[in-house]
Amino acid sequence: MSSTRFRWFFGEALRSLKTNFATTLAAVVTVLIVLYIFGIGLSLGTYLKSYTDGVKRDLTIKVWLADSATEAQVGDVQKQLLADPRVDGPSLVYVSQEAALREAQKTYSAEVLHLVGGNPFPASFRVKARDARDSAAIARSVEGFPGLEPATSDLPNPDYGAKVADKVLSVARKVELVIGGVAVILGLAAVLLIGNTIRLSIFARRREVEVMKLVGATNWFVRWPFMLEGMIAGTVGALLAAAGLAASSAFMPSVFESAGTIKTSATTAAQAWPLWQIGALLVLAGLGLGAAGSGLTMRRFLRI
Amino acid sequence: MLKRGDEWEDGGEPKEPSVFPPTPPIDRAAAALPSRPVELTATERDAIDRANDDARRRRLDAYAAMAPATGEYERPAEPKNSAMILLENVTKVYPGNVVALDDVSLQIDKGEWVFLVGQSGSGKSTLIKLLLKEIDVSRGNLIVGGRSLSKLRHSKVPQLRRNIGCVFQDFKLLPNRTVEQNVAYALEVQGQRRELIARKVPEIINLVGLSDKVARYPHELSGGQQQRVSIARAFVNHPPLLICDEPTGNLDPDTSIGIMQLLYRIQRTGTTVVMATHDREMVDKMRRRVVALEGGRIVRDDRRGGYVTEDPR
Ligand SMILES: Nc1ncnc2c1ncn2[C@@H]1O[C@H](COP(=O)(O)OP(=O)(O)OP(=O)(O)O)[C@@H](O)[C@H]1O
Ligand SMILES: [Mg+2]
Repeated sequence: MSSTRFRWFFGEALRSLKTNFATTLAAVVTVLIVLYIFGIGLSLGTYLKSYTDGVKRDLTIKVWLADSATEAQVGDVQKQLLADPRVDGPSLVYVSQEAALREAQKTYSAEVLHLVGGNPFPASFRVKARDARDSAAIARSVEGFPGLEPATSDLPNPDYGAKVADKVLSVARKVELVIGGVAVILGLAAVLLIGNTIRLSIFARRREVEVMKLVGATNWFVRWPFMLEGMIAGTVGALLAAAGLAASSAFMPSVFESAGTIKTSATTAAQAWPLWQIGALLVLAGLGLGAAGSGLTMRRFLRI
Repeated sequence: MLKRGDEWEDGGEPKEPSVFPPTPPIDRAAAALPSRPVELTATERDAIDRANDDARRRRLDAYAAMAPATGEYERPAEPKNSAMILLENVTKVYPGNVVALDDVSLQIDKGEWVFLVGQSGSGKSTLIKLLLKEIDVSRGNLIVGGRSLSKLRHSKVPQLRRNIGCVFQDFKLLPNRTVEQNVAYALEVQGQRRELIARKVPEIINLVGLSDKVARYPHELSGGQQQRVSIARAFVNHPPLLICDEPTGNLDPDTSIGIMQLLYRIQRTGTTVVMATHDREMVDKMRRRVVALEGGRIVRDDRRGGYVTEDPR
């Protein structure tokens, strides 16, 4: 399409948007509402995803070694862990008794450590699973190996933070499912709503389309201004939705700022996708919805 | 016990006072009219008759002036390759088994002027829709401008329509466009250059006598003016074929003459004109070829026909 041709189509679209102001407004508001809700869902969804990812990332399996463990016994445990394909090999670290003490010195005061006396901290292997869900199985695979510190009821060995992790992961999975389902339903509703709005607008102008075709307009010649119209309305609606989302983000700063209140044990806090990214996505969605909505609904009216 | 409808039995009239003033009883309204029709004197009646006759004679003269010169009738039968339109045993059956055209064969040559006449429902508009490929033939062969329409691909239909000007009883103008934009649209669909559009459009609007209305919208024009716009749009491409479905059906007799004179001038440039009409005066006086349809069949095809018979006078 040459640029003068495009300019003509664009002018046609703008003119028609102006003359059919009521329908334009309806389409813009529809896109605005749908995409605003979608944007909120996307923010919360990505926030939650980032949170659970943090939990998963930090899910470390700790294998406590007995002070009496021989070098061969320690080697067996290490071999077993590294041979397991579910284990993220490079993440495996050996923490010696001294290193464990040094780590503890950062957390606990010297008096406390002095009171305990000596070095009460056992050496350990720390390792991560490729997929956090395999943590339990990996832990079980080295359970009861000779050379391990004996497990007690409140100090399991190996320890993968079972109680906390299982809870968090299962809740997160459910919430993810719900948000995913809502997104699908919203998307469908959006397409139907926008399609319907555009159909009303085209239906009101079907005589016009008929006349255009009668004087020799091709389908694309009739379709282009309509599609541009849909795209313009969709983009305007999306921009407004993005603006609304930006305004609302003031009320949920923890979702958008890394200085969030809910910190995972990871070094970084959970965070939603940046606003500009979500905004850009909304605009793309508005553009696509407008084009697809009008393009698809046009088909019925062009068979003349 | 109150039964259904009881509340209407007595005092069903609404109690609120009406916003309309009470209408006078019918007998009093009738009394206000003269008791007998107004009597005209003989001279008054004569004057009215004469005025009517004069108007009628002027119209007939105007149409007669558009009749072909003598000698033009006796053209030899044209060979098939000069056909603009050729129907071979064309049948059109609408859904519901409505037979609108029944085994119609007809040849219309280039440059000819043909009236399609026939009662309402005889199939005139159906024939015109077939020519524009708005609908497809059910059986038979339809050739327009040398191309078989049943074999014409969908993507080629716009091309066909750009070569056929069409004028309808209801004008079919685009309501949100001015006169100028309506005419320009027929060129824009072809992707014509802007300079050419800017040059041709005022020229053709001038030809139909609407130079002072270029920026008006269709709803701001009279019926006759709207029809002029639609003729301008139909002719701006100089199509070889002009199809009209009752172009004067919505217009008063005097306005009709102006429209017909425009179409006549267009035909004189070599354009083939096919026109469905119910206008008896016009058909009788213009003495053109008349194809009469009845129940979807051709019942008459006269070289110099009238609305109901051959060669009126
Ligand atoms: N879309 C349609 N579906 C079914 N039947 C139709 C359709 N269009 C027309 N018909 C029928 O086909 C027949 C011919 O109709 P057509 O419109 O061609 O008549 P016409 O000669 O143009 O009449 P008029 O002088 O009133 O315009 C009629 O019986 C009509 O009812
Ligand atoms: Mg008709």
